[in-house]
Amino acid sequence: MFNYAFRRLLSTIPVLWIAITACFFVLRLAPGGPFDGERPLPEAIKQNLAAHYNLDKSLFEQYIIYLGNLLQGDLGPSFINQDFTVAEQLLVGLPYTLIIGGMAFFLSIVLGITAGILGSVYRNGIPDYLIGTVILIGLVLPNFLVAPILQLFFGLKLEWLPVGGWGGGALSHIVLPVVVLALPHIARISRLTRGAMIEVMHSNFIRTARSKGLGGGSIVWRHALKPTLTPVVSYLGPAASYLLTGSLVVETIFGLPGIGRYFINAALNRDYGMVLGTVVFYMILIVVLNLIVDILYAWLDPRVRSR
Amino acid sequence: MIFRKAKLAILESAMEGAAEPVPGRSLFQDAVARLIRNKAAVVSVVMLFLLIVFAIAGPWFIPYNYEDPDWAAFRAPPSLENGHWFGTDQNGRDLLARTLFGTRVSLLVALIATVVSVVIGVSYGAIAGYVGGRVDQAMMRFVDIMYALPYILFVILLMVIFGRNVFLLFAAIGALEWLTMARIVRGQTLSIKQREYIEAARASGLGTTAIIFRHIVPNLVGSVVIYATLTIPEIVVVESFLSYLGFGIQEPLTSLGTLIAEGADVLEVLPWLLWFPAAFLVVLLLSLLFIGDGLRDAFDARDR
Amino acid sequence: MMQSVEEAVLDIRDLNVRFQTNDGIVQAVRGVDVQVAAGECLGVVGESGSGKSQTFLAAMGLLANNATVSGRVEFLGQNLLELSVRELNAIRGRRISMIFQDPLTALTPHLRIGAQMQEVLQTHQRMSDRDARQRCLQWLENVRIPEAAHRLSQYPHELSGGMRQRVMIAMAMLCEPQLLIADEPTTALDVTIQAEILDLMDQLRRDHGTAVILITHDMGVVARMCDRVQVMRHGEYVEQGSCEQVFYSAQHEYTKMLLDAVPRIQVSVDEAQEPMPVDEAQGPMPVDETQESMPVDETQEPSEPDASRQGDTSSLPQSDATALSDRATGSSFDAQSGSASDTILRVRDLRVTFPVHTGWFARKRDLRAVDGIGFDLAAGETLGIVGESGSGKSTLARAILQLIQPTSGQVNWRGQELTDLGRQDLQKFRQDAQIVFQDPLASLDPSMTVGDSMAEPLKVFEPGLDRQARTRRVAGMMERVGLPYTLINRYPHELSGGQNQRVGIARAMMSRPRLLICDEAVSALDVSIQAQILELLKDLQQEFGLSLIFISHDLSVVWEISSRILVMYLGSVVELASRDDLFARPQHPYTRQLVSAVPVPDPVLERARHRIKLQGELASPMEAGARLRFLPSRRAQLPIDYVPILSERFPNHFVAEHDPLESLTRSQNKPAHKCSQ
Repeated sequence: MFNYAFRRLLSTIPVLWIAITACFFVLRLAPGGPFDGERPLPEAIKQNLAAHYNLDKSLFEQYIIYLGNLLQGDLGPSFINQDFTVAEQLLVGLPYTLIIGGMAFFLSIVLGITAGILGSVYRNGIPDYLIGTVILIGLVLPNFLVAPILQLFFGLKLEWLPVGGWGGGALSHIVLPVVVLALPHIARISRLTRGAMIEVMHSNFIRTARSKGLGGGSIVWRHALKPTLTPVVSYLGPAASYLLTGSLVVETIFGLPGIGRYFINAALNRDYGMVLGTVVFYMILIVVLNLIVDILYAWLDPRVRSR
Repeated sequence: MIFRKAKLAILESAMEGAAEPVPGRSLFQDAVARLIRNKAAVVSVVMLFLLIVFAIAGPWFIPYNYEDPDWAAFRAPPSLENGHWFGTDQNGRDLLARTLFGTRVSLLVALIATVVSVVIGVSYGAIAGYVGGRVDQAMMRFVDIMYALPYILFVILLMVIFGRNVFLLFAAIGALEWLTMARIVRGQTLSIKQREYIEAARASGLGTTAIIFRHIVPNLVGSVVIYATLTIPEIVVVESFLSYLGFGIQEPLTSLGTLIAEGADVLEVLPWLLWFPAAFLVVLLLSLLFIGDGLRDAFDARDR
Repeated sequence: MMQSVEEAVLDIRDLNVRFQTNDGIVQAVRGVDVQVAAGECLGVVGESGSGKSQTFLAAMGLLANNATVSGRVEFLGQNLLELSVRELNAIRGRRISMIFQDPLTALTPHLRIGAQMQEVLQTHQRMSDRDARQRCLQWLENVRIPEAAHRLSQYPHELSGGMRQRVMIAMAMLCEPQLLIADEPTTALDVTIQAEILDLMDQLRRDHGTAVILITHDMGVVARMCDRVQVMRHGEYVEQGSCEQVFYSAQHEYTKMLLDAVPRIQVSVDEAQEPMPVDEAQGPMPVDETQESMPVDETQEPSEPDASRQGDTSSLPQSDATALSDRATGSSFDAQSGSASDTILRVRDLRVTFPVHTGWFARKRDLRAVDGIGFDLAAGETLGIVGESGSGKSTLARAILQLIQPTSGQVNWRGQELTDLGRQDLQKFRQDAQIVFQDPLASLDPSMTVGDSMAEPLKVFEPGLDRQARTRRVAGMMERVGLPYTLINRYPHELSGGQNQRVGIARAMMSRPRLLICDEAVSALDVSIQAQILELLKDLQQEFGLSLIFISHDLSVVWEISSRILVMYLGSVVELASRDDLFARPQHPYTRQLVSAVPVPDPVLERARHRIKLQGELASPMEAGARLRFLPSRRAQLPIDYVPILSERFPNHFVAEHDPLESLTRSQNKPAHKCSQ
């Protein structure tokens, strides 16, 4: 088990390296430098700036420097907001994103799996249809549509919840963003769980378990749950990355100071340094999450480990 | 008549006194029959068809244009009398015209991006699956990597760098949505390749190209159609998402996502600006989803 | 008459099972009655789709939700069909238990063997962990699983197929049930393992007085195991009675047909008396020998007696026994091919190895699937190739046809080396040599009509033909293989397995081949269909002068059709002889074990037979030293991957080196079946 985890860890390093390299070069090969603004800067200042940001060195040297800095946790400078480095800005935003994202992740897994199991156990019964309808809403309504509708309903009409802002992390401020972020994933996870559970319950080893006289609970929990969760777990990696992209919208709509908003602002302002830094940071985050998912997967299925 | 006679002649020459061959039903025809029995899917096909007809033909029957303001009607609520059935926006532009135009753009993006993703995904997956071995391993590892990365960030990155070009947007979305298609096609190709009828074809002296086109491709069609159908709504959402954030379609052009973004800002005062485009988007997504699901159930006739 | 109801453990009356499907209601079981007494073994026989499994799954309440069951199922006075799930659960696993066909999928993959076994005891007898573990260990030993304690902490995928089925049996016996229902328990297993599992079940039944219901399609298994037999067809019992009654005086036509269709190995005992040493080979040989003397392949001299020259050509058939008789192959093709003794295919020292990756960092190892095989095939002859799973017999077929590239060795087709043929010549060879596969459905392209599938070889080999001519040819061949012409536009999924296999054969015959390789061509079919297909193959051989290579794991099927038989073990030949010779005096311990393991569909004969048991199960080809399984005495001197050498023990009867049988059955050295993980 430990061996397996270690091997997976090793294999993520080239993944990260390739991704970072690709981002770096795509961004550097872009037409126009970061200082070609509307107002042309004097040549001397431009050169000073270039020297300061190592832009006068060859592309390859810049790349090496960037990688070196990255290893020390330095994501490079922001080109617009020059008082703070990218890492500093991200650190400010990170807690908000992590809290919202983490809660949404947790909520999607718990509600999604529960709904999926209920749906499969009461297959074609009333719970199944109720859950199915909610799931359909989650699948079809994009978050940028759900968010304003919920804001209108709970915030403005009922005045139960605030429309936006962090509010010091009060639960009332967090509820809407988390629900909006989690809804599509609750839907997908429960669909996956339901389908997988139905298939597993038809498999031979469940028939064996039933022939052994085990009760329904024991069959579902001991025998059916783990294989049911395998497809769910393999969805968690992509889900983490969907959650991060979802947080871009949610943070913008609800006015939350997370990294998603920094990223959108930086992108709209063409702050290359910040954009590159954020993307690299996101990738590290997601690759780590995927690593965790992989290990979880191996725990669920002993056959994976021995491979 | 002549046709029938000719056919009979062939039959008689082929086998005297034999009964006429019974026409068989292919798996594909079976699947279509199952699809037709699926009410949700049939209704969805009709809805989608109507939506497409509206979006394409509608603008010719409306006296307004998607970008010119009607100076007599700013912020007009929907009404039948003034001809603005869906109302107008802050700039006096007819919302019906804009919604139909936005639907067109969204559909066009979805179509082009889907074609791009199908072409890349099918060729990539088919090559990986057919060649197999180390090539396959390397190619699929790459797909895994891409899967793990938040690809919308890449699209945003590309939009930032290369400017907000609509066609670039199509290509970028398509070029990043091919991953699932590649995985599915590769898996299918691998399993088809191991089927005995491929060996039988090789034993019958068929060359590689003939095997690929006569035996592998026809058996891939089902899954490609299913997943292409499931890709379209995803792309519609991605396009709307990007437009919503301000990285997609820009004024004066518009798409459903842009319209929804605009509508959401003024939801309290001009609610129709959100509701009508939202309704179009939801109907579009819902019917695509049902069609995709229906196709999957029809082709994969297991008990679900 | 059967036992009175009081004695019966299980008493099923008028049981009906219906399934609600998309195509309407299907009645799988139609009002059947079954009684089993304590300690009795009841055989339930039927072909696929006869409803034999459904009957007992229904009785156990194990059917899917779309099934409706009516009737009475009395188990020790309780009607199982009226019990609540909770009450039923108190019986399942404790008083009635079941074992299933496929032991891999029947065990929960993510739970350790120990956990799966212990939960039975904990559910039914509220045993403590320690006691439960103790009991499980004891039962694993009862079913003769070596290193039982270690097995408890292993996962199902880490065990071999035979071992998994033993675990299933142990698990089923944990609570010492009154009734054991075994649903095709040995169908997925090799014949030698099948023999051991059957013996085990028989012994358990005697020791514990458990009633056994054995559901099977195999008449031989019934003959070996059962006291009473019920024959099922289309959801009804067409015949029942004691084993002897059913086998020796069957009343119903269907039973007679079934018994008739089963291939029977018949060896007249006197042939087996005195083995003739090789140098006195002038005696009467009741053998369909079709070989002429074979010259030694000059390219290979046995000059280097190192370990890599196993299966050497020099030790291959080269006697001058010329006693030829072509009574089996007939003389109908003599006119066209000159003489029946024309060698058309000559295989020498053929090897196929596959690289196997055992892990990212682990060293790549070679799996030697075919490991130095050589034989000759004459025109019009049928060579049977027998081997258990993993013996490389299918790989051999594909290597001969150049469907996979042999690693080394020669395949010589009518004087031409296939390995150095160009594309054009290879095409000609393809026209001459065709293959029929095991799975009739999988061997036809599902998106093509069967007519198009059959016409495809014509498009390649006779591009000059127009559509009409092709249709005519297809129609002709359909008639020849017994397919109604009306099916020409059908798709494979609309046809039955037997019909599809006829399509497969027709397609192979379209190009008028001289060699047809049948790779397990009848293994997926029901016995009655199997017999028809075998008949068809023999007819085609007569008519077209075909040479056949008939590959199967089923010794009795091979016996039925072959004139010579080659026995494979782990990629190499252990014995090669004419059919009658091989069965009359099998030499190699492996062959003898195989022959003795095949159940004979005759209760008296079958029960009187002596079975040869070698310790251990079939080894994996990846396992080091597995090839020395029959040569343990020389394990110390020989290299670990040594392949025993063939030599001609009697005229045209070749046997690989081995220790005497007695030493192999007696000696209790290290078991060969240790798991390779």
